[in-house]
Amino acid sequence: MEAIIELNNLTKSYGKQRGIEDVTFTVDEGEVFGFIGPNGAGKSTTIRTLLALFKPTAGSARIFGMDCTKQADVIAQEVGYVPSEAAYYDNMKVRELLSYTAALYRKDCKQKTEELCTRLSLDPTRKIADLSFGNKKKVGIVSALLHSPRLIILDEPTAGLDPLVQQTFFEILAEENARGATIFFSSHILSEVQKFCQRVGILKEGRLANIQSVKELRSDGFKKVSVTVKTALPADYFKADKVANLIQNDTSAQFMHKGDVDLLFKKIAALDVEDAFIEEPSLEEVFLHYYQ
Amino acid sequence: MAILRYELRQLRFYTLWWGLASALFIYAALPSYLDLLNPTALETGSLGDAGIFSLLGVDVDVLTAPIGVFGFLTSVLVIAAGINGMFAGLKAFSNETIRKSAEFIYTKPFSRNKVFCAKVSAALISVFIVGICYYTASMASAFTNVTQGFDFGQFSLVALSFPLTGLFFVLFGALIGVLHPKIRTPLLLSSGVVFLFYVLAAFAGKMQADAIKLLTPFSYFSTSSIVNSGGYATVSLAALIVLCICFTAISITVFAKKDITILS
Repeated sequence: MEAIIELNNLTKSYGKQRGIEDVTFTVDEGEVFGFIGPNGAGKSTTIRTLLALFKPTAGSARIFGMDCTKQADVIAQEVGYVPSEAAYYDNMKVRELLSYTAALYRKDCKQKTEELCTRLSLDPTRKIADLSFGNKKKVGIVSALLHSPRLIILDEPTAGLDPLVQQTFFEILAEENARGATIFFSSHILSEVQKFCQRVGILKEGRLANIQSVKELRSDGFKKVSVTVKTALPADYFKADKVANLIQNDTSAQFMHKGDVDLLFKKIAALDVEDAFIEEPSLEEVFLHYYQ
Repeated sequence: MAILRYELRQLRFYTLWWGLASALFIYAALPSYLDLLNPTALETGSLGDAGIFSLLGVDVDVLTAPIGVFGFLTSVLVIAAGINGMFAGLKAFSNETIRKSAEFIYTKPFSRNKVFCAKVSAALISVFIVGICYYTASMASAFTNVTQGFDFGQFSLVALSFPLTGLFFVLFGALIGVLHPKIRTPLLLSSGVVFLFYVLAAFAGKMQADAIKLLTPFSYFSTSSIVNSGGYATVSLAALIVLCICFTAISITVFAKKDITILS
């Protein structure tokens, strides 16, 4: 499968300030790749370097096999980008901005523009200055998708969107992905990455902490265990090397467990159990592991 | 072309008003000043120190001639041409940063050089439209009001100093916009900078500092030089061309290499 994005030791620093350091990964064609990290981890810097808004300090970035800095204009023809802060020309109407976007891509995108505006409940006759943050975000989404790009780069795309519009947005993205588009999805809202992406890159303080499939990330990690018993629990009954975040009182315990599940079951079975839950932790909980 | 068209639309309002204002002003002011600046007034000293006119590039010997009067008016009105030019050049780049639209425009399929050329071309077109308005109104007023001593060629050269000054400041403004895209008040800054250049020209004229004269376009288009030699001084024209090329080359080089400034 062809690599659509290739980052090789990509580094971007701003003088003494940290940006990103030695970030290396690839995103394959047709993949939905999540890029997660807390605010300030370097997600936007990585994206802006990919889009040639910033010049890399070291390393290289390639999209469609082309150098991101040298062939940025050629690459941009096939890329749709939703920036984290959606700001456009306030004196324009939505329709004018979208026509301008289509003209910049030298494509007739009227049909798709209208379709996307309808699905996202975006009124194209309104002036951009009068739009709320969420509606400006919708303008950004339509503007990024109207030319049916091969690669869609999204930086915190759901910020400001209400849950119903978010659902529609994810449906649209799924259709774009089914059409063949590769999606690079940057977010600090982990549940949406968990729901939508196939692989996840975790950025920590400007460095890539890990890169795994969402499935691996969950299975290799901790299990969330909650046990309630009828009689008092012995002190530190569940305390062990593979147990984290243990909260225990007289008749219940909650903890994160990693390792042999059989041993865990045997330990629980030895108790007079009233109720027990063994769940997959949310990506938020898995994610915290990388930051401890 | 899409960026050029958009930029021209952004400048439509300014182009219209600067063009109309400068055309109306010169059309109305020329006949008034032709009456005011007559040989008698100069001889009786009612105009005060005639040296002030020479600082503006109009020597006393041509001041009372129609071309001298027109040169004097133009030497003042070029300040407006300069402000309009620098504002258009500067705003083209600073606005994308201030309005936070930089991520929109600079991620589209156009190289930085093409974006630069489209933005500067739009500013230049705007300045030349204003220049055409000024030129046309000047000629119309001169045809109507100057009965003797009207030289079309000399009048044209003086009138053309208006858009040429604008050209200098468009490119200078673009350079400032590329180097410092966070400027929030481009009109205020342009007014201040152009006035400084104007003061520099007056200072250079007073001190007879020829080297300093080469740095400011307000020294380039002396009416006396046009009357005496039939054209612009070669050194001035060369300085204009060299500085314009330098501004453009530095702007393009820096713009192509630097990170886009994104305000959060």
